[in-house]
Amino acid sequence: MINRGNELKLQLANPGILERYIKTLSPWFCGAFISSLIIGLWFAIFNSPPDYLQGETVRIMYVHVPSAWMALFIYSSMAVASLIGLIYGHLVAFIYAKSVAPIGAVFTLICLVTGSLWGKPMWGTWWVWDARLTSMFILLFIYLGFIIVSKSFNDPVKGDKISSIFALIGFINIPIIKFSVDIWTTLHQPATISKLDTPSIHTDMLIPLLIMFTSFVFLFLYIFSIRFFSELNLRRYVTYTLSSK
Amino acid sequence: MRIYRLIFLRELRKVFSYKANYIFSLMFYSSIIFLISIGLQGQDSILTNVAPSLIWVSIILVLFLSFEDIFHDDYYDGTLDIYLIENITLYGFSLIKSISHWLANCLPMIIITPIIGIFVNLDSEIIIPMLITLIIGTPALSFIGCMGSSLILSLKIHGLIMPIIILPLFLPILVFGIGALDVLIFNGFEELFLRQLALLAGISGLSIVFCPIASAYIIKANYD
Repeated sequence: MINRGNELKLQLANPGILERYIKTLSPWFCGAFISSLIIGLWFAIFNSPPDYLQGETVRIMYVHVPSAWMALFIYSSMAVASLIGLIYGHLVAFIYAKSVAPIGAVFTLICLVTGSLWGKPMWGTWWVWDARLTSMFILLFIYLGFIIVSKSFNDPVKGDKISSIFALIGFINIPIIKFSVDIWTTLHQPATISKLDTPSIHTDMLIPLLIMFTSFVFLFLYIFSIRFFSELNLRRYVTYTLSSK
Repeated sequence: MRIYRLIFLRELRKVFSYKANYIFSLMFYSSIIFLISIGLQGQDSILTNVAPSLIWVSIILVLFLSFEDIFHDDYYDGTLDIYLIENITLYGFSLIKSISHWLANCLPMIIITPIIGIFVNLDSEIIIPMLITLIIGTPALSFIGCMGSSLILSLKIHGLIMPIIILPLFLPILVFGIGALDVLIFNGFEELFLRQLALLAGISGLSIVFCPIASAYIIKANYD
């Protein structure tokens, strides 16, 4: 007798059933993304105070910070999925890791571009080779390396294994990004929200930031569901052509 | 143990005799140095400041090209299959490969670095620290490179993929290697130099321990 929660978990591990779940959920992801984006942008542009030091440019933060969070979150989840895939040899974990990598790369790129646009008026330069910026740039390269490795194998089974190992090797960079502002003295400011005591950001700025983050999460889920379908269908096609030979 | 010594000798004989890889890396190393020095029009003041970075960057560029065919030949001509049948562990095999790669490619470049230093106007007081950072830092490059080489083992389109995959893992070594020398040149702090050197040695040690394990696993994944 399997209990209810375990049954659901078993179902979600089956690619076909998971596909059905995601298919029903994906329009909701899209709707949630658009509505929270509109609310978040309204808060960020019209209904939040300008910073007393940085003035209106602080509004770049509402795109910059959530995309940086998403970039780190996606890579961490990718590494966890790769580990699960290597241990249990499960297809969904490999498909997850392979299909979210380009999304993470684009979020990293958005973070770098908006950061550089923010850096010009505030720091006076587009780019400095400082620890946080450099490690974020390395993250972009790790994403690109993962995409190249995962796409260049003809045999998907072999490619899954090898690209998962690559994802695990690249995970060293994530703690470096997180703690780079604490260890080295950098131009980039240290963490203000993810601290153990109360966040040192005002509530009027925190609310739009969190709404924007939610909308980015839903955007990620929506794009992931599309990519999940295409990747699954690709695997089906490969299996079909191999078995019909 | 004897069989590993024989494999090690075979690798050394291969790299130092008929393939003569080390000659090519030395030539390429010096040609990069010459190109950049001539490109900077031989201005002594600029060259003295950038000489350590120049040497580190050229060594990394040369190594990028040398990683391509570390496991390639053995994989395709069936030598690796024989090793696997003979119960030779892939860990030991990749360790031997990495060590022989270091001996064949990095060591000759480190040896001629004092001579290269004359051309880039390297400060004579920096030569000994420069050699120390190179000796401590380059094993990490070799071991990480061997791991990357096993990643692209069964791909048809290697070549320019390799640098992109390996680049992020090389950057810390470059940063700490040059950072140690910069501290010494511009500030003269021996203590900070030793601290950066300790970080560099830590990275080297970690990669010597973990990279052969990873590359053994990756090579094994190619046989599944």
